Amino acid sequence: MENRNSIEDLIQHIRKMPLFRQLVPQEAGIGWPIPLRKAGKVYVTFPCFGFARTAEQGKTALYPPFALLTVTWTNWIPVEYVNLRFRNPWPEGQWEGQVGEFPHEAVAHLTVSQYREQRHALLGMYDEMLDRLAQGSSFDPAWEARFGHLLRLLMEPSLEPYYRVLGSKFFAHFLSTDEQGERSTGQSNG
Amino acid sequence: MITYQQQRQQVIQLFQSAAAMAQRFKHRELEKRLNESEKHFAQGKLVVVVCGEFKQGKSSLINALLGEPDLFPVDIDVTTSLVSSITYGPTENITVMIGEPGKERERQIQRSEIPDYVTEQRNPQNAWLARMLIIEAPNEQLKDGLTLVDTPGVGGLNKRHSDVTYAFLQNADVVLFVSDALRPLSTHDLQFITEQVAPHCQNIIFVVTKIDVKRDFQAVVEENRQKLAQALGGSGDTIFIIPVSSRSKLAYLQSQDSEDLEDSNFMALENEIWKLLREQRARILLAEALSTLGEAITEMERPLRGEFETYQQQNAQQVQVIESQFREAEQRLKTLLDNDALWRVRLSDGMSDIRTDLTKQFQEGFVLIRRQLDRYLDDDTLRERPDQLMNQLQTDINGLMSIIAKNLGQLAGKLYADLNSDIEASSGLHLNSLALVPTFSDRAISLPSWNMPDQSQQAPTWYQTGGAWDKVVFIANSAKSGGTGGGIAGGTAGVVLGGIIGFLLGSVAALPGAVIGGVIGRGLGQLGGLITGFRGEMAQQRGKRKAEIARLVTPFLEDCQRECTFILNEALKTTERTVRDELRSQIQREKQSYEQTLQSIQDARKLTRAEADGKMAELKGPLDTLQSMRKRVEDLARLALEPAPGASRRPVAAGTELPQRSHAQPAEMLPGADSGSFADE
Repeated sequence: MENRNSIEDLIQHIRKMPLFRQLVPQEAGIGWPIPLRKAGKVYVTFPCFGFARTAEQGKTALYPPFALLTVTWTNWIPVEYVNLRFRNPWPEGQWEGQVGEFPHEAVAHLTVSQYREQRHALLGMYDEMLDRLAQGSSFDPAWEARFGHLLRLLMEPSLEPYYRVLGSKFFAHFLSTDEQGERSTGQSNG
Repeated sequence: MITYQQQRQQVIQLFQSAAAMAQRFKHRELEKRLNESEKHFAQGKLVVVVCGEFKQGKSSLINALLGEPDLFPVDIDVTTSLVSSITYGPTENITVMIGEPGKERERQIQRSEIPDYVTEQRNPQNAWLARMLIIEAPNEQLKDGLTLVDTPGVGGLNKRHSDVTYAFLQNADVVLFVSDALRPLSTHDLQFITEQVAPHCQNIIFVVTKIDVKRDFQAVVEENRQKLAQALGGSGDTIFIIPVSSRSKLAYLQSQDSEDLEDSNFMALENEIWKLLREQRARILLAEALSTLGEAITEMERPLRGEFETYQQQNAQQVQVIESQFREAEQRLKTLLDNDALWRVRLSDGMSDIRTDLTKQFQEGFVLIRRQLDRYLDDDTLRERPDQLMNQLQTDINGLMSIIAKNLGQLAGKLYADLNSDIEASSGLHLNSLALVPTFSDRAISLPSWNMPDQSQQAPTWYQTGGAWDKVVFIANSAKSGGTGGGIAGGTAGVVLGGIIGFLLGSVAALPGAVIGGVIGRGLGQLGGLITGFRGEMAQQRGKRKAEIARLVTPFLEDCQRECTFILNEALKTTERTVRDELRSQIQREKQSYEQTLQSIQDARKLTRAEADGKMAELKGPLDTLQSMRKRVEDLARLALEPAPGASRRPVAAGTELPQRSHAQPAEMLPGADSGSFADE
């Protein structure tokens, strides 16, 4: 595989943090990052969610996110931890119990290697996005469409409603942009 | 700057101190592990292959490097026709392997008999059927693990030796490509370098010899630099060319006149060789050894520290806190040992990916071999000598399997390191005591000691041939080792490859490499036997037409491919099993260490205050010693990971791309461009 992206290293780093080890079960998954720009500084929020192997070979049960961890992009220092049972952003949603399975239909035909390649590519685009946000650079529609396409491919449909709640602006923007760069009507839960 | 040799000595001393400490505290298994690791480290080989066209001064160069004027024959009318290796031994011992593949035997000879086997003049057409010469010599230059390999000229490369030459080339730590100052590199030289050397070894030093006979040798050096830069795709700055005079160096040995030494320019060559070795192989050998030492020190220190801290605490509650921390760690390790632990799933997934990648490479490789066979069948000379055609095929197949083995070793090594990192990340435990932040190239430092399996486990095949590794990079014959190490009977080429790969890759990819080499070597050995048999049959087909020969060879090639597929599958299965078992052993060892610590704490709680104070005083000395050893290990590890001076000028082989991060340019807003408001709070 190609060299690791910064964000892949960050995910590994997060797992080693004392805060993470204290509060997050070791088998928890770390979800798709949610960039945040505030007062000129860039942060990235990671949802933590549960998953478990199922009796069926090759399938993994997915559970809703239970926490968010936000770190500063430049120095990886945590700035916020939110327990989503304590601060429930969507009271009417289902936060307990299995909500879906992985792999979902869009990626079920991929080999593990091919899936990892796509994931690596998406995380690489996240790297670029976060750097550009920090520098105040712009994003051309073609780049956004590519990012949206990859995100749509890899986003687990059963978790999508939760992502749209946790990062409404971000996911409404990218999950509603197709490859041709045209916007279609997206759902908005925010 | 500390040299590799100095670092090596310090590491050996640390091994001895740690083993003594282990003995004192009755850690018998640990003491055994340390002694064996020290032996493995001390025997670690750094392989420098010398190649180039014939009559370019390769043998003189080696004689001059070693300060042994009469080691390899160098007379003007002599050409070397045999691959020869030279490594350290306490006494001089020279062995020539002779006989047909599958029927080789060793013959001990004297130094004066070397020309009888290695020169075309005294052994025309290799009538002795010599396969390789192995020299051990009590030469100080070789004492730190350096192994030099002299090869026949590539232009007149004797096809009977080509498989051995390529096996070494593909696994060399450094290649010295030798040409002389009388003429620039030829097209043939450049083709050999780009096709046979650069793909397998990035560390090439181009040596221009005989500068004492040509005044304006610099012009040749510069022309070589330009040609190489063009052929290899780098800039001239990244090509290492060192002009030398072997004659001046040998003259210095007699005269001790520093001017002769300066004229020879051998200091520059030796410095460059050691710099490259240090960057790569030496670094890996050191990293493995230090990793083992770090782990051992932790194993000894942890229970003593636990006990000490228990004595230090003034109340039961504080002791309880310490104890619960250790229990929690022990519990995490227990979870990691479960059959459904995540790392096992990741190992399985990772090996599945590797299998997919390598199967594809393997199939593509055989497509190329079949195409090459067509070209051979169109060659009148080869059709006249179908047995030579078989030699070519064997070389091609061995070459492909060698590359596959190397790739498997590297991929499995990376997977192993990644899993280690994942286990640490998910468990919150440091399975290795060295707290250096790993990057991929540094990950060797976090590889645990793998070297010496428990007695209860079957040792990897190469390890059973340990007696031979005392000699040189070659396999043991089955008579000596009594082992199953893919013995000579299987066919030297395959066994040589297996032995070499197993040994040389053993430190590149640590655990997996040695195992892979053993499996593939054994397999290729058996395949080599089959090919030998078929070669005899093919010798009867001289003068036959292309179609007739093709009708015989093509199905045989298909059989070879099936056999190699089986070999690859076996290697993959064995690799996965070995990686899994080693990770499991590592976790188990950690768990046992925590259990021991908990026991120490519980024992400590039973003592009175006065007894506890006495014990604390007893423990202080050993703890200080262990701490100081740990610091030494960490300092040496940092030094080992430092890039050598000038490392940025390493040559870049053609086709190598350096990873580039895209740097977002601060840009004006373009029409239709988004400002990134999707991320704004």
